[in-house]
Amino acid sequence: MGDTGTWVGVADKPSVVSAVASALSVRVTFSQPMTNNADLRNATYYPLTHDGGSVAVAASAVTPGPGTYPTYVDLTVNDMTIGTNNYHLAVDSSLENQYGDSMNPAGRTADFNGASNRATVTARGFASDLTLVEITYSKAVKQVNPANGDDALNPTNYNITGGVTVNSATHVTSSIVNLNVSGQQIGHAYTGAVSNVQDLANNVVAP
Amino acid sequence: MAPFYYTIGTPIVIGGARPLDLGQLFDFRTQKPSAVTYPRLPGAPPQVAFLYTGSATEGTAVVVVSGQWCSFTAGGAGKTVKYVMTHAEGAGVMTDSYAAASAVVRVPTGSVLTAGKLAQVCMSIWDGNAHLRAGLDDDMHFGLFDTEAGGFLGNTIILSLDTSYEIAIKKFGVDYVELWVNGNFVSGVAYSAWGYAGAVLHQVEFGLCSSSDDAGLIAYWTQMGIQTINHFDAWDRISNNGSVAGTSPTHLTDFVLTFLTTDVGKRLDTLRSAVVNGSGGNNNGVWKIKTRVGAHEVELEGFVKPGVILDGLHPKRIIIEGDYEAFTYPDDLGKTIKISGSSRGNNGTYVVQKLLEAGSLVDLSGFSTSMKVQTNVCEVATATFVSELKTLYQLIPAFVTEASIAYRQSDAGFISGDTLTFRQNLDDNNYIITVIVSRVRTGQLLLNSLVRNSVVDPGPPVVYDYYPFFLFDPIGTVRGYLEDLLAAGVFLKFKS
Repeated sequence: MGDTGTWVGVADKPSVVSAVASALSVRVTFSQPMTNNADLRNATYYPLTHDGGSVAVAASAVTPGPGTYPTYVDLTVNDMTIGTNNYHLAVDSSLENQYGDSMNPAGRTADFNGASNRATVTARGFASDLTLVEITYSKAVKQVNPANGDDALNPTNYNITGGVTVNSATHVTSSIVNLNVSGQQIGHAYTGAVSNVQDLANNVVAP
Repeated sequence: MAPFYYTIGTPIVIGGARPLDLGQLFDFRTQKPSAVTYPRLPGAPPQVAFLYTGSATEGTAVVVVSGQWCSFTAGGAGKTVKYVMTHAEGAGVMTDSYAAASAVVRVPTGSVLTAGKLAQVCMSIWDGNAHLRAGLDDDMHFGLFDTEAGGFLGNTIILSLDTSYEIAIKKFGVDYVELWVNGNFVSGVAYSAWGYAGAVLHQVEFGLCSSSDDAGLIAYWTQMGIQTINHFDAWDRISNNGSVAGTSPTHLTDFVLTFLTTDVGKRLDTLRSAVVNGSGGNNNGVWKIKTRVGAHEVELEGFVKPGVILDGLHPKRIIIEGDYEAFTYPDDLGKTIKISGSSRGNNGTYVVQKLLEAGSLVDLSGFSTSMKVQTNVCEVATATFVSELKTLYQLIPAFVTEASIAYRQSDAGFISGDTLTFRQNLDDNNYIITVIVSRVRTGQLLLNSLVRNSVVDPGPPVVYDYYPFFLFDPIGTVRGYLEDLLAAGVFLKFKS
């Protein structure tokens, strides 16, 4: 007969393995399968901070991965500022693995790169009003003060070739700006560019 | 930097501006007519189809019998229970429209009908001129009528109580009006049998429409179908103020409307001529504005067309190859026809004396019943044509005096940016207009080996199937500079 004895289980607490952002979403991966309970789905248990501090990012929804004991959750977040390790996650200690073990105190945090879809731009001209060009951004952009360099209402941020002068820009919606221009002609095709304008998460429009 | 691109497009060609046609079926089995919606245009949000215009309160007078119909009950003497679709809702009915309104209706036992009140159960079309109605008398005779006092027009049909019928009024422009019941023709009446009912209303109406309905009048309406086809084109200009005189047989005067310099080259059709010239023809014709003589006067000419066949065996005969609508009998009798492009001495101007039936070559004036017909063969009064193929021809007006003649000028409107200006009055507000427009400069590029552009006529001038030959002259800019710089008397020959 061999030796006999008693083993006492040592809790192997779960940790955050990684946090990876895509536009409007962050996937948090754990080292172990987690219990899919109210705590795991509680958005306030995933506080995020941002280096710049100027843009508040808060998890607004938590979607666990598949199964009773998912290994990751997806956080739906506000728009982020694109950057390197500029966001920091510290999950709540009360999250539990499938055996009821709470988070490893040394493994509750992760840094990750902010991600966002930069705003893209389309434009329309109107034969019925040659002084108007309608600029439509794919998302809301800053429209605070025309004097600001990053503001969509700053006419110097727009350049249209072919002899067109941009005189001013006015707010239409959070993502639409009307340019008052001169020098347009019916039947002509125009090329323009927007520079410096930022979205509400401080990301410059897509190049 | 984020690039963007845009083009300020503008309409290049307006193909027409017509009131919107309609073809819709409206179901009242689950909702009142005023609750029925439909998209005016494909993809547009649905909007209300019918307005309630009855004098009775709709909430009590109209009851949905789910899955079957809407029950209309007058509920009081003098009360009407009716709905209309006006222009604003998309009816689009004009005087010249081809329009049909159909309904499924049923009169139940117990409904109290009144003698002579033909509009008590009624469906009608107001077309800006007449009020075309179909209604029911107390003896269940159903037929067309204008005014209740005037009684039915044409044949009637006797309907039965407690039976659903599909009734339809069909209006064919200003020619005639038909009544159909359950898909069977009941009556056809000349449009002229209806009196003038005012220019204001353009709508389809149905319900209990007589102002003297009995309180016990009841009818069930299951559905309405409306189809409207419009030919009126506001991009044209129609005038009834034209005038022509034999002293200037190619000129047209309009003492009310003005002509513009931009009208030159536009098509102008003279219409509804009521005079007969010495050859049996009249002043109707299809012309082009040749010159603007003054603000109220233009000179007209016909379009130059190819395809003339001359046969020396019939020295007065002109055959237009393949164009069986080249001449209109009797309109073109007495008009001038100009032959050009001949290399055999056939050029000249002649007077159309006879129009012959295509194929049989029988003189169209010889038939005992004269009717307007088109053909491709004419004979002129004096000529000694020798055989020749493919010369050109052109009809030229030879107007005789007519103090009042209508005409239609095509492509009369203006474009300014995206704004169209009509020179044709619309007879109502709220039209939904379909504008046929192109903003695209089109061209077709083919491999050289695929180009087919036949010589229709060797000329001179040479006539080809297609023009222009070149959409783009690649050395045109260079040529301009070179020609400017070259000394006088030196000519370059370019190959491209």
